[in-house]
Amino acid sequence: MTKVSIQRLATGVPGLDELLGGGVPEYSFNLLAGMPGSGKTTMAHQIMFSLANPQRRALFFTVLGEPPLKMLRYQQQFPFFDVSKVNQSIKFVNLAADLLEGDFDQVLERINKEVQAFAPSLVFVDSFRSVAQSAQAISAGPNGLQHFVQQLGTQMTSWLATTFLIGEYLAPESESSPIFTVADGIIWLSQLIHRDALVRKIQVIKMRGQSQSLGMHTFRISDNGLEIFPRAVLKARAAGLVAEGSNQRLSLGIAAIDQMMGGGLPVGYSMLVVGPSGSGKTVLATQFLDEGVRIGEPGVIAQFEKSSNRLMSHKLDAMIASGDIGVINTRTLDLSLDEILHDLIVMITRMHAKRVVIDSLSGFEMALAAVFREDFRESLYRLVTSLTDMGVTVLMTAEMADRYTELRFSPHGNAFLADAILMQRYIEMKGKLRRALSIVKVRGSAHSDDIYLYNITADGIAIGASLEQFQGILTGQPVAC
Amino acid sequence: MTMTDQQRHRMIERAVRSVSPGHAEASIVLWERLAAELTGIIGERGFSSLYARSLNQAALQYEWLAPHPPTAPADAFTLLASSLTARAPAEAQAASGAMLNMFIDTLIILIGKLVTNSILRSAWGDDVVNSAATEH
Repeated sequence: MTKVSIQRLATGVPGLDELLGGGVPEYSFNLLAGMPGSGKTTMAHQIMFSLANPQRRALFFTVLGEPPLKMLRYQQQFPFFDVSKVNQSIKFVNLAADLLEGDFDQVLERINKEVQAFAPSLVFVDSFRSVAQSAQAISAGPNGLQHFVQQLGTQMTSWLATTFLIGEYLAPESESSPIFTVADGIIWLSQLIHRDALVRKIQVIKMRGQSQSLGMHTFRISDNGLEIFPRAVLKARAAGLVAEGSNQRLSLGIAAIDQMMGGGLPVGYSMLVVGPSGSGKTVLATQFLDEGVRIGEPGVIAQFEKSSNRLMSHKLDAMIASGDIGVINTRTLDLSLDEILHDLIVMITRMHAKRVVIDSLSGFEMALAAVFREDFRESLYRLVTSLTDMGVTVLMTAEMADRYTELRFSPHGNAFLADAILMQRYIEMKGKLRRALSIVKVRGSAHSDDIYLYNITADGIAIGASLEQFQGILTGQPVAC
Repeated sequence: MTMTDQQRHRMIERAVRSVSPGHAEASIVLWERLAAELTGIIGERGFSSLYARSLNQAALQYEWLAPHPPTAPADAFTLLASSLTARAPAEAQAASGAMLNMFIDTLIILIGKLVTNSILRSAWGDDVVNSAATEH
């Protein structure tokens, strides 16, 4: 005897199957809920058009919500709306009259009749909210609605139909509890506005029989429909596993710095290059990528600001143009971290990239929608860990104005995220403004603790003399000891 | 197979001229079949509003069509039948064809030609629709 195995249907909504734990369970009874305008009907159509075929037909019941004429008009704008499926694999049925005239039982009977006649494998009811709000529902109270939902759920499962109820609800649970109890799966869509930026979020509140991805995830509605960016959830891993098993190191393309780091940057490490404006952070990042290209290691750069160094900028542009370096170039201010991470992972996988640059964290923070800036530290932690878990080596730049009375390595205390830190700063020597750098940390490795002068030349960073004969360097005014 | 606007208009004009006991009957059958198919999809209210608009538009040319506010399709067709029966066959069929064309053109503007054609096929059968698409 074998136990029942539940088939999971791929929804066709990018990212959704991952959230659901593999897809929608066949014959399940689901609620797609959320605020008006949150994308419920679009998601339902996207699922329906993706799944429906002559062997797996779909019935789409419209009740009182959005007028069906408008729904058909607007949904046709999406590429997934395949007109050839309409009336063949997909049938739209309006139930408004049944609900206005009769009671729940009449609506149930009508649904049953249509289901018997068309024998669909997929049933959608949009918007279910209007059923709950009908006069009869109000007079029958929550028990009437619960009875209706239970009946519908039982009938649809008996007809072997995977069912989606679409409903407008402002907040999970509250008034909708009868439906919540009966539903096998609940998908919640919401949108929030924070300082002018609109952010859409999706949450799988419940999905019987499988392990869904918990928490809120961001999604976008573009010309192609919905796309979900599952929040990177870190997998449990043994502490301190960060590539320490491997002794392999990557050259930064600047021999002196490799030497200072004890032989280069260990593979799978994240490195923070921190310094004031114009100190050459992007130059260093460009050299890191250039060295990778030279030895056949493709790289990816998430570029949130342009380098002020023209020569380096040209070099980077040339590497991007030749396809050796992939670029995620974005200036919009309504991104979610997961969207950027999703794009990064897609590009890293496609290019088999080994080196990733995020230039800069400050620009990155600016690009995020305001609401995500509040937990930037946590987000950054997830981003960096997800990337290094893939085995890529990450170099991040962070701009920080020099402070000569304290030693800080990042604006938000992000330095703990980095496995290695290189600090750049301006100092004054003999009436001249000079640049100095030092390696602050390389986790699990010996490294130089000297402070070196350096220049930015046409070829990149040129390391100069050690300042070991000086003291008070970090105050900005070194004196010979 | 796609059909042009002109082909569709001719198909409707021909369909309303079909030989039947009363000259209004063919038109009413077309309307009834279309209503049966369309109210299932867009609801009775959706159908009635579109119908009322078409009646209004057609009445600009054929005043005797007597526009009325949106009402249940069955009642609307009874009114239409009596208006059509009171006129000479040629004029009644021209008015009826104009009204159906108005209705379908509006539907196409709203939900596109492909979906509309698919609805017409379900409502009137392939024979009626194909006769237009294959004509030269």
